[in-house]
Amino acid sequence: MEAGKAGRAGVALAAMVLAVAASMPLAAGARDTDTAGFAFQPRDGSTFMWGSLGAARNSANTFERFQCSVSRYQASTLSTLTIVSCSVRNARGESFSCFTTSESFAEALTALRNDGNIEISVTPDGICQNTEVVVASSLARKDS
Amino acid sequence: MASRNWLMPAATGFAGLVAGFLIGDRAGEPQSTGVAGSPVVVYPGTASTAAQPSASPVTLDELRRVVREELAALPASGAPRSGGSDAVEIAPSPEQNLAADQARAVLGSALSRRSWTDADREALAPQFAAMSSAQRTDWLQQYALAVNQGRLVPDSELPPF
Repeated sequence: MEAGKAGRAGVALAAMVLAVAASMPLAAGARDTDTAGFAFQPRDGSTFMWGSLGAARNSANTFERFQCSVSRYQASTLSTLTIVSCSVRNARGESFSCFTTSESFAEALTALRNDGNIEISVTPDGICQNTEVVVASSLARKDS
Repeated sequence: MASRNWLMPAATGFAGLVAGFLIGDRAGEPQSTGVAGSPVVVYPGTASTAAQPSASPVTLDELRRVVREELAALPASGAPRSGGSDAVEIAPSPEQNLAADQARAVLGSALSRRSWTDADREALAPQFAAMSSAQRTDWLQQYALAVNQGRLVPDSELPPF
């Protein structure tokens, strides 16, 4: 009997939660709709490239994307060569890319999550110089 | 290139380490007293104070190979070399030069089509793996500049190499 009472109470509680949820207006926190792109920085000649992985994936067009890869090669008996390669394609289908052999840059990328945001400053020589990886609730999740 | 100031001290330190190792190895070899006609071989130390030299599993040739490899790998710090005096240059092997030539040819072909495809990536892969570290970064810089100047359009969803 006690088990039956507990079961009925659980069902009632679940129904109450559903009712309250249904009566609440739809609400959400801040949303960042920035997707992927790049922009020249006249002050120092660098180029700023960025991408929000979820938003770029969800964009209406099929162009936008941002990708980075980290590869490690056996450079010698005692050392490895790390190569990070990143590229972005904006809504107009224009591409920009950079690379670096910086191990610390590669380590920074490990903070990037599936729906994170990444920003990179690129030297005129095409070297990925500085990066910032952001994980935030305002960033869009991939729909599929 | 302030970020690469560590290269020379590192190279010097590494060379010193290797030199010390080699000298230490030589110190264990028998030495002649130099008396003409009747060479007397004397081992350093005595049995009670110094161990006899033991057979090392590492040969001099192997050591030289490791030193060459490490010096060749030193410039791989971040940015491509700019010809600065602190760069330690080791000439790439003929095989690496051949791979670099073929990798440049793959890039040249893609530039003529203004498109980098998955087929280009597959053609590059074995050459890229065979190139030296410096040749890889040189190639990547050419690729990045071509893309960033609009001379090459990546038509692949994968990294270029």
